[in-house]
Amino acid sequence: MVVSNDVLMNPTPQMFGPDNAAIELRRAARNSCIVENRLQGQARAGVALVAETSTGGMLSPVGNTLVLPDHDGRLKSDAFVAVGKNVTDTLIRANLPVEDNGSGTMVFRRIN
Amino acid sequence: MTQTIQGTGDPKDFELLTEYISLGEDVILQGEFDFSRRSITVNTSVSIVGDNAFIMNGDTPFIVDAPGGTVTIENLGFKGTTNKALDLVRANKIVVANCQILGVAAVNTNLGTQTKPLFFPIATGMVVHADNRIAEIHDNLVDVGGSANEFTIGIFGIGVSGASSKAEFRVYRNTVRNCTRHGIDLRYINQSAMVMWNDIDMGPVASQPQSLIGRVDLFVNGIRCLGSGYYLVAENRIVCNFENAAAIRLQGNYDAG
Repeated sequence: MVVSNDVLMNPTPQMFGPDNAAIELRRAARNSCIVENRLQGQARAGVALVAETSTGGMLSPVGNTLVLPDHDGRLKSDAFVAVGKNVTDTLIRANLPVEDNGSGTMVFRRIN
Repeated sequence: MTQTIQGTGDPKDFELLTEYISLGEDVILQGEFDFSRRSITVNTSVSIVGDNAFIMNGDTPFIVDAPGGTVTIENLGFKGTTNKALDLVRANKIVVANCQILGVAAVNTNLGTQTKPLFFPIATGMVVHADNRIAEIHDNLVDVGGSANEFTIGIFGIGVSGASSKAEFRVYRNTVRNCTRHGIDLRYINQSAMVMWNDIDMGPVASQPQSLIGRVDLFVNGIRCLGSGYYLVAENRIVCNFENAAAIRLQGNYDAG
């Protein structure tokens, strides 16, 4: 569980590598909860879920839950949430744009 | 009985300290202790407490391997260290609190296998093994430093994939600065790890050498949790300055991860 952390992404130069994200779930990261973290600065993604081929085959994040705060403009990113290819069954509660290339992703909007 | 030792910079201080610790005597250290690239292995329950004391020039100055024991290392400063300041292998309970680790020089370490060695310079503030039953690491300042041609890690918790473990790690209120690889890196703890209220600023330098691309993982993270275990990462402050880093990375390297 990753909850209530304060993250400042402050890259110089401001070009992002492929592994750049404020919070990342990579390979077989399973059943994790990412809840109400405060993200600011600049990043390729606020929260990224990334599947990757390893020696054991395709390793994919499965069954993770993201509860994101409302976008307060403090993080500039290409995608606030980036769900990568082969990532499955991610549950997201957010009012933020989600770039979804996974399968079984469910996005629930907050009701204010 | 608690022994107070005044460090004078004389190599004999080291011998006296070694003798007391081997007898299981609690010690209070004052002044500077020149370890001259040497190391003390702690095999029994003992408390090592500094009173304005610095351990100078050690090569992994303290190794703790005290199965069933309780070991406390508190209020000590480390300067001029090589390899790592503390290697915490085994204890029933290990406490490291209010210590300052200021700069660690890297040593060539094999990242590969015996048949396919791959050497690269690595320095670590402290290594905490998952063979410790309870590890409390709190209120320390860990400023490792390092160049882009070195991997440096602040606090490194390490277990073995698939091993049974009763480890409970509590890593809290530490200040971690200037690491080229990971601020706090926990791998295969297999039981529980709480990482809270730490203040991590990775500094301006990160290490992703071209020569290692495709040979080892080259991730840079403020906090990384890898492999099985119950990890609680909460209320930390993390600053990442590198363009290819994640402030927090959760990673599973096996299907069961």
